[in-house]
Amino acid sequence: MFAARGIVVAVSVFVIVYCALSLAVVCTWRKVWLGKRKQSARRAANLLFTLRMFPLMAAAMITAAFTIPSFVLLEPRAIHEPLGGMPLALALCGAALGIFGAVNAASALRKASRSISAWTAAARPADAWPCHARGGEACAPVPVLRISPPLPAMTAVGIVRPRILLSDAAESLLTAGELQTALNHELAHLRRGDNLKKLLLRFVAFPGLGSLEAAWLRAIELTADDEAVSNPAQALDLASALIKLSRLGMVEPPVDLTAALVHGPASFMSTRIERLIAWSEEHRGPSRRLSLWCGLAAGLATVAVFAFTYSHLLAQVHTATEWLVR
Amino acid sequence: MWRRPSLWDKIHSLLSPVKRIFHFRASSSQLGPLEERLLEALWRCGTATVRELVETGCDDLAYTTVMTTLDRLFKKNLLSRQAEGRAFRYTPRFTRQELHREAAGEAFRQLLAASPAGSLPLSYLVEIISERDAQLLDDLGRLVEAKRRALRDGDSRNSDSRDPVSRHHTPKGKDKDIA
Repeated sequence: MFAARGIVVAVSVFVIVYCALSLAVVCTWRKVWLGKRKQSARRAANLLFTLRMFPLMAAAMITAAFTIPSFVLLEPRAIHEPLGGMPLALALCGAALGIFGAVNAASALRKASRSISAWTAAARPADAWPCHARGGEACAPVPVLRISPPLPAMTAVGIVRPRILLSDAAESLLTAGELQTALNHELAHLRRGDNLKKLLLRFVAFPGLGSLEAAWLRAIELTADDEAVSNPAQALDLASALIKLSRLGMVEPPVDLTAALVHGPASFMSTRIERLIAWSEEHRGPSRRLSLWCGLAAGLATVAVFAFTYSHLLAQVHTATEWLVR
Repeated sequence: MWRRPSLWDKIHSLLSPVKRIFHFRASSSQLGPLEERLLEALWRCGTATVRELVETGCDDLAYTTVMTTLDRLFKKNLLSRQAEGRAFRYTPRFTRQELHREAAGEAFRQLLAASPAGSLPLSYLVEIISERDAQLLDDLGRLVEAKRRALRDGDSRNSDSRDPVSRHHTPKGKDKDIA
């Protein structure tokens, strides 16, 4: 009974925090996004993904770090306190959210797996590709498979076993330079784990956040474009590849959990192409990274603050959960 | 002439957000040339009274004509108005883009509704859009080629200035894929 009560309380707190933060993100993400509009595509993509995952991360952290310990440490085990209707309803909501997310993610995985199986039915490995993404930088060796269907022209698939699929039509259309930059684009998606992130988004689906996800999808394409090229000639190669492959099919049917080179509305494709034509070093933005020492200092400060206030916080959280249970 | 806002005016203003969604389409579908002209004038200046419009851009129109036309636009839910002294100050409810989008949407809706085979006009539309997209891709392709040529010219000029001898040994146009 004690464990069941603990689970109900933990799930209820998780649901309350998750829904409240998700609603806050629904209401505020546009303002945050517009405020940071001029930053590089990579930073924009990171910001949007962080915003999208923030409710889940924060709710999970609060539940794991405060709700469960406060219940385990401060709740008397001997008392058989009955559970009210509210926590039970919230726990059911939490269970429903979890089941919906799991079903949504499983369905996306199944659809992607079906599409990939259909594309790769008669696939054969491409000749060895030179593995030198941007500027001779080393990259993970990823199998490149030639596929017969003309669409998708080029796409990165798979999460655990990533592969790049290249259609015969695309290969015959593109020059060596165009193929290389297109391949770099797909490798950038794989390096950044975009397919895994898409799966996570399926898992944490929440109404009203579709436009944030659409903005993130656009931002990751621009980021992959930026990471695929390192000089104006390569940018023109990629622009030319996009133009040629757009002619194969203006709007490819979107397949979940894959990263096709050419997809989306024509207006977005022309934005990408124009951006590449006007390529400059500034597009990628300065690679400002927090130094290790700054991160370490911030981490230590957070741990110190929690070490001093943790017991007080646990007591307060316990009071709040007591109120919730009654 | 100024009049106190009637009950209908108050209800009208309260319901305006709902009307914006449900009634805007029907009301904005037809605009006369005078209505268009006054709406353009209001988009330019943002907000104006009848007198201000007559005195600034529409001095060839009679005061009463402007007043009647603005009242008609207000009743079509395209303008909002606030009492200011003995007159009304009119403000456009929608931007030019919003109105154009709505007009285009209305035209497409009428086109789709007019045909007994609903998918036929849609296929024409897709065809036109595809043609336009193809044209856009052609334009972008030309732009890429022009930029490539400029890049090659710039490179060859640079290499000329660095090494005037080597240019005689470099095959023209073969450096693209290597780059």
